[in-house]
Amino acid sequence: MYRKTYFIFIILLVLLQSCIHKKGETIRVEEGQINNSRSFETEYFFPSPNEVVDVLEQSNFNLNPDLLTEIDFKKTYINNQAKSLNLGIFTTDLAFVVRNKDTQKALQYLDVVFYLCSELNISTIATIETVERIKNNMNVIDSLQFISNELFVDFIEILKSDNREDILSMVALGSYIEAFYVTSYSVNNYIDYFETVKSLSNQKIAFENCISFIDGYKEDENIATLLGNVSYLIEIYEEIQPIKNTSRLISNRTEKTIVGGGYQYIMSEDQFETYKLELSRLKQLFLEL
Amino acid sequence: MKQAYFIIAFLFLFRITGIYAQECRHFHKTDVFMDIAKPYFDDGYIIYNQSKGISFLKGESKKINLVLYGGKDYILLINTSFEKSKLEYSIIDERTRQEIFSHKESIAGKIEFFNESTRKVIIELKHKADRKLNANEVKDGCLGILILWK
Repeated sequence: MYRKTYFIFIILLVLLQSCIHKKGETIRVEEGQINNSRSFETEYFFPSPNEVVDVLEQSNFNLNPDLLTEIDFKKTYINNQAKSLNLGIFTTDLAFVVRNKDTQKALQYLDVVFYLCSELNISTIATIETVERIKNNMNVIDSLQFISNELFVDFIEILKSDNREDILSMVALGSYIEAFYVTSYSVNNYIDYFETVKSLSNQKIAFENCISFIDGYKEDENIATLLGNVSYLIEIYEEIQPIKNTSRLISNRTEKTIVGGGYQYIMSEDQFETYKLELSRLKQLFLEL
Repeated sequence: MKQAYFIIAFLFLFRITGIYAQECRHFHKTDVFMDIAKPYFDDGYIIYNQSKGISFLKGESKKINLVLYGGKDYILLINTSFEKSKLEYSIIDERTRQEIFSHKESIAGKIEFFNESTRKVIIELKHKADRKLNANEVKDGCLGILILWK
């Protein structure tokens, strides 16, 4: 009797595990079409922090390095939420200092990133030994650039395959908030840095996809709380009025296809000030966790 | 003892999908894609991190929502691990619902364009088998989307 109950328990456990693994998947059989076809809910992809930083930097603002998060090796992070959000923050800071070609600072940020990765049991492509080798390498900045680019892609792949999307959601959110915070506060004049304001405004699209991804895991209490925390920032982005582009959807100049049309987003000066204040509040909140 | 073997076999069967998901992780970085992509690297293109390799069934449909930044050149390469079968796909602007590109009978796809404004696009993909498949013919494979940008 005991063995039978144990056996049923194991089967139920395995079934439950397989259900969790295929989260978001639905089965659909279309009449008259292929048998056993599966249909998935939409999967949301979003740019990595490096790509967000790349696009923002192309608007030619001068990074204020004082805005980057101070490294405190004595700081203890009490839970996975704090560790994940800070991992996101430091991953973005690493992207900024690498682009600023500050090797010493980049190595320090990399140390913090690896420390937080090990605290969260994320085994990344680059290990502490790799960093030690990089330090003795002539092309340190190139190597750091490579690692910085690959880190987040690595996080996505590792955390998704381990079904740890809750951690990935928090890392992504921390990294986006940091990118927006550092960029917006590096800009001290709305008119002179209008291109940067435009670039930050259009990040609305990337941020929305990041939030759509995170929203899929809101049953997790920590994720639900975080979504509540960023709801005002979501609102600020939603309030930006879209401006329709008048160009044709498809046109051909020279031999290249041009995809035009669509919309662009530009924050007003008041919206930009509110946006900055909200980002400052969020960064402080994440650091104090 | 027999029960133990049965449980192990059972566990293994239920993990197969997971194994496939892992095997497909780097499908978009295999030679199938890289042979086409290589010349573009010399032209300043780099891999966009929303590129993905994911598990895919014969006859399956998928919708992927991704972000394309404005003022950038893009090259999208799409392929599956299945032989002699066709892929139907379209790229739609999420906000305007306008179809940007559409391919009905491709084995693989390459789309090259300049994107003027930042937008979300939905890539709708459907694998078309050459005939109706029975349940035992529906096999796991991989779908890869390699995106280059500059």
